Amino acid sequence: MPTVIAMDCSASMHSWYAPNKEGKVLSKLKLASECGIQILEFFAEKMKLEHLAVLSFSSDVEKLSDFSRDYAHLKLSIAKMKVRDKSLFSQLVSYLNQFVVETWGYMEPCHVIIITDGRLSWPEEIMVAPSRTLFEFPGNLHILCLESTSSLTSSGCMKSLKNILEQNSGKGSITSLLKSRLNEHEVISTMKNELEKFLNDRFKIFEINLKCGSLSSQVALYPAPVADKTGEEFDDSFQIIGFLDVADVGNPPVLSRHLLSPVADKETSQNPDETEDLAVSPAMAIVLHGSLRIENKVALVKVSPNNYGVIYSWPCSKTKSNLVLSLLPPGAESVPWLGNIRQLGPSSLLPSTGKKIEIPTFPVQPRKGSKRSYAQPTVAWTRPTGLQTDIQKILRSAKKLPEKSQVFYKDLNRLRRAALAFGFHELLEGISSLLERECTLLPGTAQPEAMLQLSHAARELKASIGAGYEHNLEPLKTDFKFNR
Amino acid sequence: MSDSDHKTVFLIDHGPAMGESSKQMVEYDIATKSRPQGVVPLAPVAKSLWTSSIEALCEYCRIVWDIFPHNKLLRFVVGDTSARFLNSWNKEEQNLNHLMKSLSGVGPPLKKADGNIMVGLVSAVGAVAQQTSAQKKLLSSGSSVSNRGRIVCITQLKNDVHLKTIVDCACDAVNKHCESASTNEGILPIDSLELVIIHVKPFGSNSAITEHSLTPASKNPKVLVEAQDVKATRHGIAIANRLLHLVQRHFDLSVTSITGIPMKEEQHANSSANYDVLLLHRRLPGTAIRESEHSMWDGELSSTMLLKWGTPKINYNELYHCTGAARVSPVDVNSRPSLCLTNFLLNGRSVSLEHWNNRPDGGTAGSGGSRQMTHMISCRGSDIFLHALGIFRPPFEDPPNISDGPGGKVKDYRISDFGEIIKHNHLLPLGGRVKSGTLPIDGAMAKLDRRTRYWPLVYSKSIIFNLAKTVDPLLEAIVKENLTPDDVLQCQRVIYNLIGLERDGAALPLVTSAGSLSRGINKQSKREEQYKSMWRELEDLLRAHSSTSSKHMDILDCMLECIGKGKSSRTSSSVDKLKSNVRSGANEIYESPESPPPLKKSKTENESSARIRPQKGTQSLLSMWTQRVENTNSQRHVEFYGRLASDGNKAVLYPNFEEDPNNAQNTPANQDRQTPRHGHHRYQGHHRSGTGGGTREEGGRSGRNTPQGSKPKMAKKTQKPYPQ
Repeated sequence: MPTVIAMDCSASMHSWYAPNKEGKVLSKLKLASECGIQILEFFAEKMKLEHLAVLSFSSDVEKLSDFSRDYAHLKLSIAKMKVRDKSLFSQLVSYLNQFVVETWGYMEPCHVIIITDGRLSWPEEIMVAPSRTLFEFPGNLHILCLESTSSLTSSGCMKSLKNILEQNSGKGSITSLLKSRLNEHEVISTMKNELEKFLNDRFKIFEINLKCGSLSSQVALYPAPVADKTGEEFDDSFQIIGFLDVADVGNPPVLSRHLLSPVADKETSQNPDETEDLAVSPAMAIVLHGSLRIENKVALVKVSPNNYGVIYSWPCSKTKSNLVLSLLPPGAESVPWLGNIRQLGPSSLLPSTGKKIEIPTFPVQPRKGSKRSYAQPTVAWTRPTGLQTDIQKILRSAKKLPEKSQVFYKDLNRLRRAALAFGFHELLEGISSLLERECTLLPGTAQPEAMLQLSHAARELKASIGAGYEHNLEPLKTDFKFNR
Repeated sequence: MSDSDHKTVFLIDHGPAMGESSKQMVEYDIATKSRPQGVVPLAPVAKSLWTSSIEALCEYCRIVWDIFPHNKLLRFVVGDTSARFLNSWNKEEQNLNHLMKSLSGVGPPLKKADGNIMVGLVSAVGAVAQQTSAQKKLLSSGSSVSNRGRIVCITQLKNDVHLKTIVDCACDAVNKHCESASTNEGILPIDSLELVIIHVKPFGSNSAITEHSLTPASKNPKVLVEAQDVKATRHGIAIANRLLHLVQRHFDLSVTSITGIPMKEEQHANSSANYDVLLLHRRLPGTAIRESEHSMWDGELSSTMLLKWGTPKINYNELYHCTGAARVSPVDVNSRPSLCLTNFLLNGRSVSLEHWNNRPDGGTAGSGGSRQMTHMISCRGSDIFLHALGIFRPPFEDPPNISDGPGGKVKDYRISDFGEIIKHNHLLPLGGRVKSGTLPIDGAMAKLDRRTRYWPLVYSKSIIFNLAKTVDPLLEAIVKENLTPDDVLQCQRVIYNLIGLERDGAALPLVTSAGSLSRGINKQSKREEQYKSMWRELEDLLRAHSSTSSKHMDILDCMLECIGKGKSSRTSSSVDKLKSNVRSGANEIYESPESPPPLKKSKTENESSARIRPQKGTQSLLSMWTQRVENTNSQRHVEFYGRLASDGNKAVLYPNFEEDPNNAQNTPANQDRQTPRHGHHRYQGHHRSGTGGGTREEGGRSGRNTPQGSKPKMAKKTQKPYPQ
């Protein structure tokens, strides 16, 4: 995941670490830049795909380098660091919230590595609200201190650093890179060892065995996925369940996405001579990628007992494409239109009863009787226009009686039921008079039945107020032919 | 299930005060063009406070049920002298139709009825204490449930003292229910309760209470109280707006305006104007958290996000990175723009939208002012969803091509064949249609496993997958879970056809990188080697599938017998080893400890067949053919009992010949009648070779070891072993 290296360049960092006999300047700032370079070298060697940015902060934040994979350029940018005034941690946080979000959005987890002497001022009054976290993006805060643990504790810095970490919901770490009473020769080597340990510990390439039935392929995930909020661990292998059409899977909400790149299996990669052969030994991930692209499908994959993802071919340019895994939100029902993922299976599982069975299709429909308000006639009279529209509709069909009597009575019944539910009995009386008046306004050319139906409806509407919700106003029977 | 919005109870005052008119008239007889001039419109009617409140309440519920079809449950208590529940926590009773129906049974408040809402309040607290089915499920799975809830009380209060009595009453009820929770099943202690009291009053009324936002009650800190004072102005829309603001806050909803929707004018069908529609939806992940302004406000909802109408031409076959999707509900469901939009979407269209910033500094959210699709609205399964699309750089931007990594240089991947696997394992929502006991997802994975048990990744590592026409029926059948007798027959036929191919010396598809096997050998032996690896591969394939069912095993046995390896030992332990073997390449010689010894021995033994085709490595076609025929025959043939009874293989004919010639003559005659035709001939053949001996003796032995031990067989130089 993207990583920001933030160097404390406050005045306190200028202090000489060791007594300087031979004219060597060994300030903490120098140590900090050594750290920065070591971190960059680590990434350049082991995690070539990661983006890094370098900042220096004091009372103000200076961007030494934007997110980049150009490690040489990043290294050069560290040299630009200069000593400034005092460090204001809150300044850094608000800068990061803007800087990181601008590039990666609110969803992308990001590492923030702070190299400091531990004196981060964190004014009490700008403590974040309990409902919010330090960062607006999912950030891991790693504080590397150029100080021994004991001196951090005695100076009270440790307490405030722990406090900061707590504000970030505990996500991150505090590492002390030095030990007390080191002579100048030991300083650099101790620091480098501690930093090496920290980097190896925290920054690992996430490798997993991707399984498709009996076939499998070792793949690396960039960036490494983060376990869901419930803390459910990932399975030992990601297992493909089956395949879906891109149109059916329909842009599901996604927590994070990761590049899948085939890597050599650990067993075979032990022999360095074989690296030559790797390029020519077939990998399942490549077949999968090619077929998904041609068939325009996605593979549904199970990553932990309760978490799923989709694997698809992602075009990174017109000619290049790659295999990408998108992790779905936790749970088997995270994508409503796919239904419960555990209930997905190939059509061959359907019982063959002989008679033709209906093949279920996507999208999964919500259960019966739970239609949304916009997908069915709904009464909403909070605005006067709502009621007026409904009445206008009734009047329109009233003018076309008896042809429109079906619609007329249907709408009238709907209005009646709503008025009963809202306890709006006055309205029913009003509508009754309205219909009576319409009766008198009928043109001479109107059919006599229109008048009969209108006065019948007006009368019935008033009379049936107490008749209950289920009562239906029926058209007046005017066709007596069958009696003959 | 532990959220405070999982359970909401509405307590609606049904006392006489609520029956009061809101003193605001509703015009329902509005002038239209069609109405003749001079008609006096009918007098407008006034909504009662009750009607205004219920209308507003129904809107609140409509939005909740539109956006949260599951797990956000609402209940309604009507309180006057008694308390009446209008529904339960059951899912079936969580919809607008049910609510409207029950409400009609309640009717408007009676003018003279007396009482207060205390009884209703106690019932409402009781409803929060009741566990819902979702909570029950969670509890039975062993998780802890924090039972939180909310009561929204719509009533008319006298003054602040009245308010305090109600709060105290609620506090007492919570305590009481917590005590009784331990003894009653289905009752959970209440961990926290939000009590929202909405004081409604008619236009012109001066009674007021002190409004305040959520604060813990002095008597019981578990109860958080909020007081709202709202006047039913403008046809009661003030109450409705107040409740809209509440639903927005209670369920953390965003208000989004879709702007610039082109719509045909009602009056002039050939011109179109642009309209806006206001939608409520759950806050989309990936958007900034904005502090919502306080909701004690009776104005219309205002949008927090403007999305400009883009194009409805969206390619459904493109997968967009979508950071969130949320169900929507229009604020004004029956307005013409809303209806137009929802109907358009319900017909299956999707529309791209663009984030629109009203700020003076910048037009769109995307950099450089270029139009960027940031959202999308579409209908899926009769629900409308607003999707937030990923507009930021992917963290793996500009990655190396997949072909630069391991396996990238391989050119002959079986990509189109894998497409077949993809098609066969296309998933469908089978929910409930599969016989109980099997979860479809497990069935799907099992099927995928069967399809890939033996599946070389590249063409050059396989012969049989290149023999499409000949082998396809077998490849298609063997991956099935259950084989029909027809399938078995098909498979056997394929095996025989392959034997036929070998007999005819047909060339197998050239497998280029099949290793060093074929290098530097002449054409004939090359072909021989190819067949050898073909059989080996077929065996691997069948062995991989042999564990599926006994019929699969039968096919393996059939094949093994045909190539003269004898029956497999019916163990599947070698399958796993085989799988890894498949991956590393099919051209390696596979010998499991269980498999019978290789065929080298038989080669030396089988001199006669070696003479016929001296270059042949393993077996002559003749011996294979005889084996096959013999195999079929052995099923029909009843073993000569004389041989069964004898020591070793040879039956002594006419053992009693010398003692009793009459008796001896009878035996073969009887045997003849029982034996089928071939068996008869064979018996004769044996008879002949047994007596005749001589040159044919050696040829009769095929070198094949049957479990019964080797049987002397008729030898023929021709390929037609039996007399016509």
